[in-house]
Amino acid sequence: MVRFMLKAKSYFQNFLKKFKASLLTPTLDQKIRYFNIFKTLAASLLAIVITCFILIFASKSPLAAIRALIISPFKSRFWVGEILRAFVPLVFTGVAASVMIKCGQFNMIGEGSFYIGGFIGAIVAIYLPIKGFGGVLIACLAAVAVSLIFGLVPALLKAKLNVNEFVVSLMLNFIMLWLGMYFLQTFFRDEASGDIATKIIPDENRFHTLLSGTYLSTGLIVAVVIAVLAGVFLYKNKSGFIIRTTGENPAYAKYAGLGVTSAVILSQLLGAAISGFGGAVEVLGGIEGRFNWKALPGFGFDGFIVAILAGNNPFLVPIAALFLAYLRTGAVLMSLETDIASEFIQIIQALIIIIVAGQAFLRKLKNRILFKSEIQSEEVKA
Amino acid sequence: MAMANVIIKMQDICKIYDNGIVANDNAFIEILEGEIHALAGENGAGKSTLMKILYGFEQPTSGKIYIRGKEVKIQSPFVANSLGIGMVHQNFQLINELTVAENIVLGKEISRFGLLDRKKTREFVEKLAKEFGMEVNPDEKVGNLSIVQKQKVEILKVLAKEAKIIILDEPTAVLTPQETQELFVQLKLLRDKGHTVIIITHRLNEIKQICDRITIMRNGRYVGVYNVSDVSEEEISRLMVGRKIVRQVEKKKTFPLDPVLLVRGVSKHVGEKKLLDDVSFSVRRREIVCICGVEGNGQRELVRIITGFDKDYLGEVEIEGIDIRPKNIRQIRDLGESHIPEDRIGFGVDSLGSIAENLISTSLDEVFKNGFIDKKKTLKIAEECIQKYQIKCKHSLQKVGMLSGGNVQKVVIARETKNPPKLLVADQPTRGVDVGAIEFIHRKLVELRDEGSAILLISSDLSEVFSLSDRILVFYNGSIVANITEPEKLSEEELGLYMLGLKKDGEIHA
Repeated sequence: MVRFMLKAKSYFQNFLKKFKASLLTPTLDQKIRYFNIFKTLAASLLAIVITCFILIFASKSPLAAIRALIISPFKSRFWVGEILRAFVPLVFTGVAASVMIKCGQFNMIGEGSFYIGGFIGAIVAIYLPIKGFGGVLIACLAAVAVSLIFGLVPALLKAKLNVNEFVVSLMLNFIMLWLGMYFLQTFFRDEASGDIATKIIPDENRFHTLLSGTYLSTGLIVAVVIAVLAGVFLYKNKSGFIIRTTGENPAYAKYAGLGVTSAVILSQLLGAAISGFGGAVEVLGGIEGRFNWKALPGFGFDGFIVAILAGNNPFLVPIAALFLAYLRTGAVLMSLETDIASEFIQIIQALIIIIVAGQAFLRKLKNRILFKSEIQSEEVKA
Repeated sequence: MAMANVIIKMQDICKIYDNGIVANDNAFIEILEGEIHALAGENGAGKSTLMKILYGFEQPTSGKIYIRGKEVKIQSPFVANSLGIGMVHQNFQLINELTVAENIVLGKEISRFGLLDRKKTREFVEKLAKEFGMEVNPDEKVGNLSIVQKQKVEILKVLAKEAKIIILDEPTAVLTPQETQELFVQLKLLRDKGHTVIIITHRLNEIKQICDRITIMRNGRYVGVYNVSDVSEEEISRLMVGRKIVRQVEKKKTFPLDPVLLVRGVSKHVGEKKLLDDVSFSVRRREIVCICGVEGNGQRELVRIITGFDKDYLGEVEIEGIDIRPKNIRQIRDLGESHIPEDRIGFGVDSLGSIAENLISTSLDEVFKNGFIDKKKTLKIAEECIQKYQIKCKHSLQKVGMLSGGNVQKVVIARETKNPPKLLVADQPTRGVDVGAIEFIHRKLVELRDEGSAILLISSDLSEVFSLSDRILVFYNGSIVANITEPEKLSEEELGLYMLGLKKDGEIHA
């Protein structure tokens, strides 16, 4: 045990030393990476500042609104739990979007498969005779399997017939929604409930509460594990390498004989599977304890926002998702405590996306950094 | 010359692209009125960028531009036009669907009641063409023209806008020797009429032949300006690369062995048009066979077939006796074929990927064990390649997009030849690459040949063809018009005649 601790300590020190070196005398690539992180942070901050400015005009009590948005999420254990609860689905769909965008695929199936994943997960968890860990596992696997089947549609159409996956997946989302609604209403509706909803999911087949005094479930751990696994897959695995290369330059990937077709299919299927899994985790860890979604939940689209903030890097997705979850929770509190509706959050989101995606933002600063370091290295050589 | 007016002066020009490439670093150029001025330098020296800034295509990060002594800001090509500056790009900016006359007046249309006045346009174009001694048919669609004619239209287009200063970006890259001479006559005529001509080039003999003065750039910086009559070709090339270079590679006589690539009766038709017409040849181990011809005579289609991109053809292609038609690109590569593509940025590299990632892409199984990457081995391979192929970079994790043209090509060549291929298809391997890198690439190709590779070289650079080939196949209109087994007995002019289709009897020359 002591030896292990020492080893971990030396590993950590080593990491710190490297990190320090990269901060003090960064190479050009590291500079660009730090710059990009800085840019995202600056964009987010700027968006919040602009939002606060708008709040001054939009609210009768702007200070209270800003306070509710920025500070209130940390006011109690319960609300921190709410942040983390909003965080979980965003991680799933953010990772799903990242895996697909990394391959150059703009597939919106995250929306539909999150819905159908939630539905299938609930149904299996309710009617399966197996209870406990096995029950949850099978429910999640079933959700993933059904998402995969739907995921095949845009993936194969793109790979074989070069049909635009964006259009197909957008349309498919509604097919998934209404198929789900049909089955829910016709076969699985709980007559005892006034709502259109399934029966209550047995307690043993649900994710446990992670933090007492909150609604946060152990699904949080699953979400983070998925993000890490997806990151390892993309950056260390052979198929991940092919997916990234295909996304960066498909003509090159084809020329190098990398099997572009299978990469395109694989990335889209992974995207569908991960968001389907997320749907199941959301329902099995949810407050209602049953499935009662009557519209697309919107997490699929949010996944794209998270992916953009994270630079499509699954390792960074949890950070981006946490940030967005924090803002969302703040917005909810703002609507509870002041006269501003929670939809106000959309403005902040839109601002962040526009600024982060804007290539020209902070370009001059970037050029100055790059130019300086080029000159320096030239001088060192001379 | 000292008496002539300074017409353009660009001072302290710096340009940093968004990807961080510093293209110009305090560049300087001074052009005199009525001269033909060469702007020379290796690729990545920043000459095109400097001229794009002058033409308003790019904005300098800092620096000043003076025209006739007055400081100007050139925010767009429109501003450049109004200042009398015109540019003929390397890739022609013409509309194929419009006629020659329409293309020439585009942006400066002669109209009557708001409609194009065809008669006047025609007269205007005819007069202009006559004045500058260029024969063009104003009513022909541009799409039907040959490359030389398109270039003439480009130049006339610039002249129609009353440009007094004409920038030409590598104008001879696409021309045969004869066509080049014709262009030079026209450029001299332009000079005699008082125009100022700037030519971006790195062909030394052409600089000597036609230019008055030369500005040399290196690494985005100004090296010096010289009267062409005062410097020798060797001096120019030394100033360009900063050291003396040998143009000819040393090459021993080779004794080819068994054939590796066998092309039998390959034809490719698109509609009525025959892009390839019954082409048969072989490439043997220890042999460099060069396919030579003016671009667009079937070379590209042939390469696409041999490398597995195109399956829609008649005839057979075999590698060591194995038909490649049912094989995909991966399987063809596994047969021992490597491919240096013509369009290196388009699909020769992944510019967003690191050097290391680019180097391992075609041999993933070497570094991926059980599906996961062996980072140490990847870095080791990358470091070896960087050293062996003299790739100029900071480290192997740098993005390929940050490298200069010559170094990008070295990455491609390193990847394709680090495991010696049985067959190497090298498509324009040194196009747009600097002199130093050309020499390196040529030596590498000869070395591979001597080690037993079969090499199919596709090139339109005649000096490259002559210095490397063991055998030359001349392509014209989709078929082989000459099979030249002793290239050393052939003159450049004669090869030019074959390439233009003026001589076809070259069954087996010598």
